[in-house]
Amino acid sequence: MPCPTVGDARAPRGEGRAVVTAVIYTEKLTKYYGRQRGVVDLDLEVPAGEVFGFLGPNGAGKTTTIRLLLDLIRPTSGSATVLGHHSRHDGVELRRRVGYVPGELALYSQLTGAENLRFFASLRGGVDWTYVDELAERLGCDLGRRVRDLSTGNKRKVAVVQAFMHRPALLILDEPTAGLDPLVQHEFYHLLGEASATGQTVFLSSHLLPEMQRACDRVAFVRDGRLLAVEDVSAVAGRAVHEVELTFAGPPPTGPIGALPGVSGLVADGERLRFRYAGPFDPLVKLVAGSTVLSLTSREPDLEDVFLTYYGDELDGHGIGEAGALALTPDGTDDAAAAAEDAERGETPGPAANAPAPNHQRGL
Amino acid sequence: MLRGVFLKSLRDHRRALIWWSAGLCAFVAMECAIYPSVRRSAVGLDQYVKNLPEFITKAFLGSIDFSTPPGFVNAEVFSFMAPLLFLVFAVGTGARSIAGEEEAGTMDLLLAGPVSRRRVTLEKFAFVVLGVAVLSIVLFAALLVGTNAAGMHLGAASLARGCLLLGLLGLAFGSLAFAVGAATGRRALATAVSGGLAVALYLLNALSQLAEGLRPFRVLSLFYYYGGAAPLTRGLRAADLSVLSLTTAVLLAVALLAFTRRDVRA
Repeated sequence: MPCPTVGDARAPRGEGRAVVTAVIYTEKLTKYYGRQRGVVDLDLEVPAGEVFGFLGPNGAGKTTTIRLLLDLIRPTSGSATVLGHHSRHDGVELRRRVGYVPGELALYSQLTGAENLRFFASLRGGVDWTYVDELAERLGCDLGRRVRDLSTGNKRKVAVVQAFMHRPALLILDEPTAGLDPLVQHEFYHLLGEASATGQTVFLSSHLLPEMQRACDRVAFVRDGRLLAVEDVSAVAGRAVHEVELTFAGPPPTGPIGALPGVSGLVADGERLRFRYAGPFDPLVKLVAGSTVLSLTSREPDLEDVFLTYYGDELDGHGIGEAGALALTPDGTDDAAAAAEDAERGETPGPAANAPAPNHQRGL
Repeated sequence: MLRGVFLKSLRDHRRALIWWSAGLCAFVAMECAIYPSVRRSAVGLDQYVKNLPEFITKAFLGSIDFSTPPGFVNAEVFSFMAPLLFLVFAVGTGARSIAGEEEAGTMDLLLAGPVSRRRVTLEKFAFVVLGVAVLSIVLFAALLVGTNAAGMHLGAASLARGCLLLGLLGLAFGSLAFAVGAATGRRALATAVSGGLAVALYLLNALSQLAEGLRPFRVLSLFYYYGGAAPLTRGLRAADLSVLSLTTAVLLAVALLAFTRRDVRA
């Protein structure tokens, strides 16, 4: 995708990790708060024009990473480069081209939404106010009320307008949809799509897999401060495990369903079937189409489940960092999984064997 | 008024500044109103002061002389009430500047804009200076009008000296609160440290009039350079102005160094 903001120096993707090509580029980025872990050895590379998801449970280090990128906090070691600007040395120019929605959102509560925006716009030398009005209208954001009288969701709308209003080259959004109602979320995803279409890059952090599947091109998985892997969203969708419950008008087709690949933990309860299902839904839907289905519910997997199905093995073993680093090559998704398996079996000599054992808890 | 950090501070605090100014004017008006009756009983008052325990007169009233206009204004305005008011204002404003913004959580969005921490620090500090300056000028104007109306005729130069010293004293403690807030992001800590130190240094200077042993240490107290209980009659000395201004400058430098280096609190 052409991206005017990064310039012509951009090399084609796949030529290794080159700082010029990436909108976000971190090298062994590490942050400890005293002895408490923030993020460890984070190697990230986000190319221009991509909607890049940053997925992990609460406390994984997502907000830490984002605040490091913006130079709000300083790395213990390693470095981050954003839009070609070093986060520590060139922060003002870096932030001039970034729009940000903080995770822990706080606006000036005694000011109205519009006054907040005017202030933040003044720091940027002014913005196109017709665009602000357009954004506010699309999100249903009442800019005339004092922020302290707004609900969480409405505050977040003001923050979203604030992030988009100067048409930044990079949007860094930390859990931006928290508190937004579904219709507004829908509009918000539209905005992300449009931003990406006009060459803006989006870095979207979330702990919700469906949001990632909805909005992102690729997803980075983080846990316990470490990058586990970066995957195409389409690959994630095909492998996610759903909790499925089917109710039939009559005896359920227990046998055929139990035989379907991807089905596990099948429990029959009268005319109801409950099971876990991994993979695309098409074969399942085609199979049950022969029976009368009264109801079908499919619960999105929560993040712990996703991590377990993806990385259940690696999470207990070594070499997570290596798997993550390998997966950063654009076509390295499968290599990463394979490498991780190798590491697990202890068959890969070299760096993987030396990688520190992650200090994590299963949390289940 | 919402263009940049300095003007926003001014807008945020414009009502507070107006109320503080009004309060100072009311205080001065009240003092000037009681002056005639104090003068009539000046002999009695001086007798009363002389009968007070020695440690009180020496430590807190110094060369107090209610019978002369400068003595009256020194005692009633400059020895205690005005420094108290200025310190409360300056320490409060200084502590709120960086630490307050950080505790409110808005520092993240502010610093996510294309502004350096240095600029945010300087603009916020500029507002502290402006606020103290406004109060000093208001106090000067109110005293000029009030004392003349009460027939005291102190002279503009003498009042200006007192208000200048007062402003510099307030600014020094405001800078301390500003610097502690910039270094820690904790507003309560900044207030407590500055307030506590102000009380300690005030007592140090006051008690050094009384205890010979403390006398060498009074140079450590900013109140000594302010003129203790009698700034109006102290005269303007370059050393006083330098120490008070340098203290402020050093604390601003500390604030800049500390805030540009540390993590912003989440």
